[in-house]
Parts: sequence; C-alpha cells; structure tokens
Amino acid sequence: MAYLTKMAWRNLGRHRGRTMLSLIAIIMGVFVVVIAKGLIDGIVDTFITYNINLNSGHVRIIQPEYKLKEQTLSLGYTVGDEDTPYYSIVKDIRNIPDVKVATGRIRFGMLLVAGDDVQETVLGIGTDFDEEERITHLSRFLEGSERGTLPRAGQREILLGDALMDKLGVGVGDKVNAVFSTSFGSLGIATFRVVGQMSSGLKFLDESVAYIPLDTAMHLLDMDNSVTEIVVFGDTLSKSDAIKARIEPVANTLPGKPLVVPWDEYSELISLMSRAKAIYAVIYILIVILASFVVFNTFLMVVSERTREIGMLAALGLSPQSIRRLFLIEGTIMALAGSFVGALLGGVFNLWFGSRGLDISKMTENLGGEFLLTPRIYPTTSVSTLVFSFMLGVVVTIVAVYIPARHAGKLKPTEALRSV
Amino acid sequence: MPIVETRNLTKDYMHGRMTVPALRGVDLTIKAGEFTAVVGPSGSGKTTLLNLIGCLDRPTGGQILMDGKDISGYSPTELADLRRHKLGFIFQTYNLIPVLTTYENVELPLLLLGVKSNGEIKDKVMSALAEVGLAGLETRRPMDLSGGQQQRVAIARALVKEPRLILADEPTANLDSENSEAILSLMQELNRKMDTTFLFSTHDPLVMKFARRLVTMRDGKVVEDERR
Ligand SMILES: Nc1ncnc2c1ncn2[C@@H]1O[C@H](COP(=O)(O)OP(=O)(O)O)[C@@H](O)[C@H]1O
Ligand SMILES: [Mg+2]
Repeated sequence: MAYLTKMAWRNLGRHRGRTMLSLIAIIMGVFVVVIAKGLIDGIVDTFITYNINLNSGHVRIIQPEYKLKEQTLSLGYTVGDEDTPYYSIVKDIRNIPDVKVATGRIRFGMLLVAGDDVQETVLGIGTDFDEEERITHLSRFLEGSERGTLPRAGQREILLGDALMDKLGVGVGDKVNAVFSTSFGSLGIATFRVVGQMSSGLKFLDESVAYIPLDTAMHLLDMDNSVTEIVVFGDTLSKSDAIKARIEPVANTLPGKPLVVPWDEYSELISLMSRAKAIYAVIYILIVILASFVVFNTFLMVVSERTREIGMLAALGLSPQSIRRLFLIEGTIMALAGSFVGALLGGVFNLWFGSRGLDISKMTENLGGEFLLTPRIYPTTSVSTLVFSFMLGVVVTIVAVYIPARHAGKLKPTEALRSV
Repeated sequence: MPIVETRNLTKDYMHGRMTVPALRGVDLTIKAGEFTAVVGPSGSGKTTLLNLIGCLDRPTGGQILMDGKDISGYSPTELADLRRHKLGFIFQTYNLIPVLTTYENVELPLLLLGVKSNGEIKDKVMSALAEVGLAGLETRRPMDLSGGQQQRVAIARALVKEPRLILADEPTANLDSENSEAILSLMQELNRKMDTTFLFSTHDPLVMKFARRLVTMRDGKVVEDERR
C-alpha cells in the first residue's frame, strides 16, 4: 500500500500542467457549488423566514373556509367567538409545551385616503405589537432618522411603509382616513395618525401593508372576540410538526374546527421553496459531474500513456486490483486536494459576501410582492454546505477516476507491454 | 522436477478474421540452473513462447506446468501471484518505473512480496546493485542512466527476489555490441555464481554464443534443441 501511495504521489508530478488542469476543474466545480448553494440557501432562507414571520408562523390556526378564500380578505370566517374568546384561546395555546409565541392577526382590506384625491388600497393588519416584536421585529424597520414608533395598543395609530407614504404624500405625524367594511358588512371610516414609517426593502411591507393595533382593529371591525388567524411559534422551526400535533386537539374543540396549517403548507410557492434545496442539490451534483469530465479525460489519457508501464507492473506481479488502486490513489489525492481548496475558496467567498450582502435589486425589481426578497441578500456560510460540497467533489471525482482505473487493471499484460 | 514444462503448447492470434498460429505445439522443459537462449528469425514465435512461460498470456492449447502445477485454470490475480513469487523479467526497452529511483525500482519486487524488514530490504537491494555493478547510483532516476545501466537495473530488479526463473525477451536488442556482451557476461556470471536460471530470446549471433543451451524456433515450432 505504501509503495502504491508513493508511486501515485510521484505520478501526479509527471505532467504538472495536466495535474493542475484536473485540480482546477475540481476546485472550480466545488467552488461554484459552494457559492451557488450559499446564494440559493441565502435566498430561500430569507424568503421562508420572512414568510414565516410575516405570514404563516410556524403553524397558523385558521378556518377551513378562510384558507380557501384567503385572497378575498373576508372577515366571515374567524377564530374565536363570545363563548370561546380569542384571548382565552391564545392563553391556552401559550401553555402548550414548546410554544413560544401565539398571537392573533386580523387581515382586512382597507382604502387609505390622504388629502383631497389621493387614495390607496392596502392590506390592513391588526396585530399585537408587543407579541409581534418577538417575531417580526417590526421596530427594526423603523431604524434611522425620523421614522417614528410602533402604534400603541388601543390607539388610532397606524404604521405604513415608506413607499406607500410617498404615494399618499404623508409623513410621520400626519393623519390618514381609512375606509373599510366591518364584519357585519357595514361601511366603517376612521382617522389614524401615522406614527411610524417602515423601510424594510420588502415590496410587500413598504408598498401595500398598513399595521394597526389588534384591539383597535377588533373594535373598528366589530369583531371583539375573534381574529382571522392565530400564528404560533415554537422554540425552533423543527418543532413545528410536534407543535401542530399538540395544537390540533385544542383546535378541534373550537367553533368551526379551525385548521392548524404548518409553515410549509402556507402556499404553493412556499411548498415549492421548502423543497427547492433538494431540487437544487441535483443541480449541484450535475455541476460537479461536469467538472469531473476533465478529470475523467485526463485519466483516460494517463492510463493510455502509461500502458507499457502498466504491463511492466503486471509482469512484476502487481495484481489487477493493485494496478487499479494505483490510479485510484492518484485520483483520490487530486479529489481531496481539489475539493478542499474549492470548498475553502467558496467558504471565503461566502463569508465575504455574507457580511457585505449581494445586490440583487435588478432581480427583485420585477418580482411580485409575494416574493419576500430584499434587494440585498446575504449568502449563507454553513459548515454543512462546505462539508456537502467537499464530499460531493471527492465522491464524484473518485467515481470519474474509477472507470479509467478499472480499465488499467483489466489490461492484458502482453498487450500492455506491446504498446509504445 | 523441472521449473517449467510445456506440453504441446499452441497459441493462435486472431488477425481480423484470420487465425495466425504463432506456436504450433511446443514441448520444452527448463530445469533449474539452465542458461537457455531461444533463437530464430523474427516472427518465429520467441516472444509468444516467453510470454506464455512468463504467465503473461494464456495458451490456445496445450499445458504449462510451473514446478509441476498446471496453471491453465488460474485467474489473472493468481497468475500475478505466480509472477510475483517465481518469475523475474527483463524486457527490451523501457524496463523501469520512471518515477522511482534505481534503489526504489530494485526494491519494488521485495515490497510486492511483502518483505517488511527495512534492514533485509536494504541488504538485498544493495547486494543486487553491487552484483550488476551499479553501487553508488542508488538515487538516480532511470532517465539519468544510460541504456546499458538501465538494463543492469532491470537485471538487479529481476535478481533481487531470487526468482525460480528470469525471462528476458531480446534483452540486448537496443544495446550496442559492447554493452550487449557486457550484459550477457553479467547474466552468465550470475548463472554460474548464484545458480540463477535464465531463459532469454535473441536473434543476435553475438549473444547466442553465451548460451549453454540453444533452442531454435521456426514457424512456431522448436526445430533444434542443442546443449553445449
Ligand atoms: N498480438 C498479436 N496479434 C496478432 N498476431 C501476433 C501477435 N503477437 C504475435 N503475433 C504473430 O505471431 C507470430 C509470432 O510472433 P512473435 O512471438 O512476436 O515472434 P518473435 O518474437 O519470434 O519475432 C508472428 O507471425 C506475429 O505476427
Ligand atoms: Mg519478439
């Protein structure tokens, strides 16, 4: 074994240029996989995290009919009533093990009117800002000069996005009128004071959402004991299935038997996104396979050039397996070195851009609001990505080398010796 | 018991659709200590015979007995084992592993045999190199040696494991007459001193005169077997 390794190691130095070419191919392949995976994981994680925080929670309790007609923002299918009011429901749910946050939201359609003829249709969200701070951290979107504060409970205060405020022509401290329909279908009008200006980079928040306090919303919409949804968060996302299982018995006792919908069933798009990593894994494998063709070809060349030498080794009594192993060791050294360097460079790249962020505004410009992507995204650098890419490089390269190596082992000694 | 015995050995090569008979029934016995030259014109079957005796190829018909054992049914791995343990080879050209030094080339057969003791390996390699007159050139790579020196390394490598039989297919074909004679007298000396058995092929009359037994081939048959 030791002599095979020694020979394999020295063989690597026989054609430095060719060895370098193979190495560079492996390095490039693994490097591309690391940065692509970092980037895509960054995008997918951002998207999913925002969707969980802003929309779906780890699980979301809603009426079955509400799920079907979610787009219409109907207030007809709500969770909680006079006998089992919203406040007691969330209290019960908060007592379930591993539940960290359980809070109601009311989503409703609203027309905001400012001045004489400026009006915008928006998605109104009534929410408990104290609870929301533990999930969405809306206050981070207020950072910077003169952006105001979050609305206070019970007040006619409203939080708007910067793009929406531009369109309405209002600033922090100004008043806007809101027109909406109550849960009974009657028309409601209220005046709010704009207390905060969100600047999140998300189209969804900055252009089309208006946050008001939950109790204010309940009062104005005539739904004192109910909300359109309750979002629940556990300690970690991985516990969402367990939490769902524990909440379901509670939900079944509630009027209308609401559904407990996990985060990854929020929408088609989210289901797709949550599976995206697996789909992309196939692409990563293809990238490395592509790179391994260089190594494959190099080894075919190497074996054919050293045919005579292989014959001589066979004459000395090296078994077919040992001859195969000689080339496999040579390939493995390359696979390890190339994959290591590729993963290292990729990791450095991701760390660098992970801290600076990558401008993808060209891409997000034309995306709809349901794509929860900020114009700057941050590639992730995880040990698992590096290990995955390294292993992928090693395994695929060795497989690519195996074919020529096996061929070398199978050469007939006399024919090998006759070649020039 | 002879080292090698062939019985009615035949070998056909396929040349496209044509069958080329390279050996047409060779009976040959090689005994320990012999110094035999296989001679004959080009194409008479010398290389084919040496390859079959060297377990590098399989016959079409007939039998080869190595130390009395019929090797017909051996797998490629078993044949490799046999070569490793019993046979040494010297080829015409390009005999050495280019990435290994002189010392490492000679050491390789011992490593393949699983000899572990560094002291034993060193003793054997150094004495084999001394035998062929290459002491002092241990660290040279093959490309830094002359053709004659390379053949000496090949002889040392074949010699080092004290094989039952050393096969040499036209070992001097690429050497000038001076070097050819030197190589042959070296082989002859080893044969006398250490009782190493040699079977070599040649069509060089200068080389033939060293042989103590001369096997002449023509058209795949042994036509003369002369001891002198
Ligand atoms: N691999 C092969 N394929 C086809 N024909 C071969 C092959 N090797 C040898 N021959 C033929 O077999 C015959 C004997 O060849 P060989 O043993 O090389 O003779 P020698 O070594 O005496 O010159 C020749 O006719 C040669 O053309
Ligand atoms: Mg020949």
